[in-house]
Amino acid sequence: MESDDEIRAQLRTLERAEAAPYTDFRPTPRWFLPAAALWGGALAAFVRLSRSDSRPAEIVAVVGIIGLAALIGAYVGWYQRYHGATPSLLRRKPPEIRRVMAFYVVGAVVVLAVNALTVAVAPWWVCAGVGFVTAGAGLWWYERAYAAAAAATKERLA
Amino acid sequence: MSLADLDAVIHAPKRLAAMAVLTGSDHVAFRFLVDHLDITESDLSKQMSALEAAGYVKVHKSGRGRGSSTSYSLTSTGRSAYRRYRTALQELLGD
Repeated sequence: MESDDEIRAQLRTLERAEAAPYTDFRPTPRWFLPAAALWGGALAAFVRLSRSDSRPAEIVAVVGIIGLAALIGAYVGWYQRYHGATPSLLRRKPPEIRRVMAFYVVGAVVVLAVNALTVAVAPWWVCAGVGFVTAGAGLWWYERAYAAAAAATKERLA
Repeated sequence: MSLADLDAVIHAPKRLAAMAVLTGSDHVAFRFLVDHLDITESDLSKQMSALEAAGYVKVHKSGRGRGSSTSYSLTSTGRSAYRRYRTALQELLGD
């Protein structure tokens, strides 16, 4: 029969193991942030071009958006292999991680709203700039916030 | 009833820890488990085979040779067994 201390230690070990996919990750490669910002800028520009009256611009936009979607697919596949245990978005997360993910969702909505507004009123090159800056700044913040949340989780469960 | 009687397969600490890691991800790579559990590859293979035989995990293999990779995911039976075991642990503490 296990003692209370043994059971507490076992539960602690389980909590650490459950959190591992969220807290144990290799550093993000240096190319990620500029590449993601470029992706955001390109998407905003292509969406703006798809609304133009020019047929060639529309074709460029459609081909570009398909290319960007393919890039996302390739990135997700690569990231799953790189990480080794991609955290599940639907399962129970450590509270620190849940908090930062909630901020991410709010931030993503704000970024989308700003870009939707820009696409509605500005030329494609302004949209590209706004997309680049908002995607880059948003992900730059998220990277740091997530790393801090992961470190806090690890410290709590240590 | 002791915890070992409840579920002898996941009562083993390494298998229990592996199950816990699998709860947080849809697919966990063999390498990630080796690193996290700090055990040898052959030991992990043995532990995961026991979990697979019990129907608790599913094995996914891709590629061949040097570029091949193995990953694991929890089955719904495994997820329920883990949840049951964890709840039993908490109940023993009176939580």
